[in-house]
Amino acid sequence: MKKNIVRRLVQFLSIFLFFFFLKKTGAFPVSEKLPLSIYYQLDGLLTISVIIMTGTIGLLMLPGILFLLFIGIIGNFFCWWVCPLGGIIDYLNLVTLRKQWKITLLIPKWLRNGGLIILMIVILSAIFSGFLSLPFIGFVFDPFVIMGQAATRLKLWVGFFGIIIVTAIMVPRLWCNCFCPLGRLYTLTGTKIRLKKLTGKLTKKRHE
Amino acid sequence: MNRKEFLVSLGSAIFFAILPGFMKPGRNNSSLIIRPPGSLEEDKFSLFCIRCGQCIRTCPSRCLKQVEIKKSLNHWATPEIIPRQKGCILCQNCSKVCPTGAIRTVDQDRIKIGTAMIYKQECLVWTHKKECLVCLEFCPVQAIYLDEKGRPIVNPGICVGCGLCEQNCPVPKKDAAIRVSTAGERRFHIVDGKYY
Repeated sequence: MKKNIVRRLVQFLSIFLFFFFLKKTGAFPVSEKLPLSIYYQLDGLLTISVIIMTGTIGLLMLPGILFLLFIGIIGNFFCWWVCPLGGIIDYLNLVTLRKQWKITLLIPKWLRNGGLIILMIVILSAIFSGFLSLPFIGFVFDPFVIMGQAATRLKLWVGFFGIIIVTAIMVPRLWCNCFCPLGRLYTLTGTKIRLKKLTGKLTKKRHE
Repeated sequence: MNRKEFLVSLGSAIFFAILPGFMKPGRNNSSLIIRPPGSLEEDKFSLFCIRCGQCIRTCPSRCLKQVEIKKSLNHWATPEIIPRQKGCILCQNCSKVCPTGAIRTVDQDRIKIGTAMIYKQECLVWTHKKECLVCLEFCPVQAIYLDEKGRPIVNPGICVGCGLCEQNCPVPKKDAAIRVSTAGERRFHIVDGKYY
């Protein structure tokens, strides 16, 4: 229970910071002290896509790489603690008293692989874009891009964001569980490295 | 996920990743897109740009717009300047918030995002013999001067391509009598880390 309250507070802080930085980005003169683009820099999916497309690792990409490594070490805490989109969905479910609804919509099994397919599309799109000059479409599925662009009130993105929110009220965290490529990347990274660590420990024990 | 599901997922992912490559909308008209000051060279720019829209949000003159999907699929949602709508005030705010370094800060006196050109057949002074000095008044770098007959001329060596002249041109048409193109633009080259 206590952990849940702390999680909600962290989520609230993350949502607040995301929109505070967005608001500050529009101010003139723009603040050079605040890390206004930190959410985009921490975004592992965009970082990996840019590294694949450009074949370079710049200083600006380091936060994303370090964050990915951090998640690899301690597991995927991002989706449930930090992600502002996940936070908004959770708070909406709280406000709409979703838990008390007597409706349970089941997600088909095949839909649960959606996140992985979209993650593959993003990575492959980055590869094809970097090597074959095909258009990069991966950004369309990034939660920070969707939120940021929707906040700029661009019709297409507002619609996309609206769909995510409405479906998330019907089926809690539908986007996160079935479609979000960033969440899937962090889950894969977190699980894989932790599994390796665990396997390593077991092998060591056996040798002893 | 079993092997069959994985292969089906991989196949569909490859299909959807390649699909945009077969779509028609002008894929190679990037030379028509006027980028913000300090942008990387064009072939690198669309790779570094993650379409986050931070530059567009931070632009105080609201001159940055997203490239529309029908204009170029490759450059869709990347920032561009449409001078007829709004000119650039060269504040370089966009470079301060770009998360990937697709737009970088450069020396103010070295900025050049394009060059303005006067279309004489549409100019009020050149063709219609009317008095008009709007482009000359709005030019922040005094790149426009008058010839001996009082007609405006652009000095391409001084013009930075900000587009304030095009924005304020009083010709009541969609296209102004003075238009900015990417000719002579300077870009940031990451290979040697220079702006030229």
